[in-house]
Amino acid sequence: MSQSNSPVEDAPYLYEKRKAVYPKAVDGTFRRLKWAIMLVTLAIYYVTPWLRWDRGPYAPDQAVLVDMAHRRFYMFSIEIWPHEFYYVAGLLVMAGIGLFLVTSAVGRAWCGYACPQTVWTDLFQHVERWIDGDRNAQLRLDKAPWGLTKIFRRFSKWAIWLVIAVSTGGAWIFYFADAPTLARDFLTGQAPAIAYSTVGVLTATTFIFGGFMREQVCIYMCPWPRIQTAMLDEKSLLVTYKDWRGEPRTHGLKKAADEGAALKTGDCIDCLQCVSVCPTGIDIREGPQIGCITCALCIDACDTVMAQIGKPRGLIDYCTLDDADIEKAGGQSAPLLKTIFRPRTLIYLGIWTSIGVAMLFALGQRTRLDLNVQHDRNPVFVQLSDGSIRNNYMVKVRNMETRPRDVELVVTGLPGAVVWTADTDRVEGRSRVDLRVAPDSIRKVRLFVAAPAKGEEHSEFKVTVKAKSGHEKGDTDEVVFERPEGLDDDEGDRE
Amino acid sequence: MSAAVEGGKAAFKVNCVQCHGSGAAGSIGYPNLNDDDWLWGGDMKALDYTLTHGIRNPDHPATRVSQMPAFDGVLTPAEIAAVVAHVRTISGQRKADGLAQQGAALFATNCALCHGPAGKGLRSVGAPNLTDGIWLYGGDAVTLTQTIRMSRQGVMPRWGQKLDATTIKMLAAYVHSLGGGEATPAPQEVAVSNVPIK
Repeated sequence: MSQSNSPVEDAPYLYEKRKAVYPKAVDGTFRRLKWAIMLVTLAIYYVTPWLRWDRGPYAPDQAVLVDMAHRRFYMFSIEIWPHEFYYVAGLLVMAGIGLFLVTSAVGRAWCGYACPQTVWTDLFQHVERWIDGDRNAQLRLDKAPWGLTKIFRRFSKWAIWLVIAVSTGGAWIFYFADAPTLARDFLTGQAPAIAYSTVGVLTATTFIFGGFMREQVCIYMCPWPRIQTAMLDEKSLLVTYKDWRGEPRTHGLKKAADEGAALKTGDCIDCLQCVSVCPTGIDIREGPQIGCITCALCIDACDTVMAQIGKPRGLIDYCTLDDADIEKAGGQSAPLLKTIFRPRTLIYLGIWTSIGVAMLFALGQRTRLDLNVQHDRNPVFVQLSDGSIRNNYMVKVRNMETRPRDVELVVTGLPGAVVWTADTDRVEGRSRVDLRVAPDSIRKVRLFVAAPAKGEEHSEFKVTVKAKSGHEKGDTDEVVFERPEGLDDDEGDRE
Repeated sequence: MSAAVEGGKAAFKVNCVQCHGSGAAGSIGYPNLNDDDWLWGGDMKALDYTLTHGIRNPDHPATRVSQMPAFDGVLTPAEIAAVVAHVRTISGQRKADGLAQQGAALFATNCALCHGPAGKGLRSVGAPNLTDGIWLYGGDAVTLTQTIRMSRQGVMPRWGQKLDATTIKMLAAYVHSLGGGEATPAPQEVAVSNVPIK
């Protein structure tokens, strides 16, 4: 006889072993919506890097490209320089507020339909059903001893998963380099190590998250469900089991019909279809819970059953907590649009839209020709042989267009100024210099400015950069011309 | 900026700032390399030569030498004062008068050989232009009197002894880029000064 209740064995085990989920295939409105969204999101992900966008000979022709090496971000007609990164920050803020907006309006729609974890898990589960069969076949196969069939099925399933995983990781890297070139280099072993390691890591995460961890990622790893519990309110759409209509449950149609006269029976016949189709393996009839990603597949399953037993659809349906109370009391719930468009969602929509409009406005107003002028500090000024004073400036002209541009630097507000560079000669009376700036680059030029010695010790003046042709916006910088102290009264003898 | 200029800037900070200053603006007796006035020439070739062979290096035949005589004893103090007046007149610091006219005659016989009849200087002997606004030691009467009486014998080391030819070329490129660089007569040096700007 063994003593089985030792203190160690009695200690509570903090980790709950995963209960395997074998979601059953289902068809219906929301399943079809999920197929459509999966098709669109996967297409966007895989196809985008291959779209071309002609930017002329001086810039890459990839429509969406994060060019880390050259520090440029291309998105169709928009090109972002590192100093314009606030546009990306703005997009991230919009993404965040967009999630708030969606969550407060239609609940966890992101989790249920568009989150990559959901989309890829859905795809993997589809592959699983294709190889192993539906829920019951999967249960049988899992329990079956390892034999030829099981080994063959497992390996073909994993092989297909791996192909999906590799192409998922593979598609990611194409956003960071020219896709056709990188694809060729990647296949011939010429691509940089970082490309292979990125694909390796993303292949592993896709394979493991999509194939094995699945709903555990949503329930245990993802912070978003926690944030959403704070985001949801009594007017958010939730997948709801209408217990006031379903309870008490009755097992089987016949029994329900037999006992129907005698006792009060609900519409739920406890067929467990809602549990079978759930990709996270929960029972929605227990009420709203963190495991529910509101994919609405249980609605499809229940609607099918309700149609079969001749009851109205919507025993499980999208419903707000407020509407649940109204319906429970026998009232009519508010129309869907009224639920979605309420002050809270409209405020989110307003914030979201104004950030978007502000960024579009800024994008339209931004200058593609930028100037920065810095006064040389050592020496502050130089005495020239003709008695005039020279100051030196480091000028940076940023041409943010993908074509070479002829620009001129013009000095205004400094009487008698003469301007030249190392490449041009000093010509009396000339206060402008021409420059050619290479496409999509910064040109640094030492600007020499000479002016008569007579004048203020610190004279402010302006340097302007203008495009030689067209009416594009230029840029102006205000700088100081320094003269030696007390030169003004340095006439006459100083003996 | 070209790599040569940047390399020259680094070498300048190590070898040249002690006299010429970190901004190459010089000080009394040490020329400002930013300006457009050169005793020995401001093109790449001349700069390279000056750097390699130095100025007034003893025991080095190729060094640049200019011997301004000390006029103390050669000219009387009154005559020196007249020459000072003339020099200050041609450099625009003083109005012409009788003293200056007397100095002009003395200048023609004693100074014009090196400094030229108009006082514009002569680069082949390193004689400074006396008519411009730049003075190595000072253009006031006291300093000029001192200069004429005692002469000036500024020295620059010959860097050919210490630095390799590439570093010297980079130094020349840096000094040339400071704003006073002059066009180079020889074509191969033109190529050096036109290192493409990155």
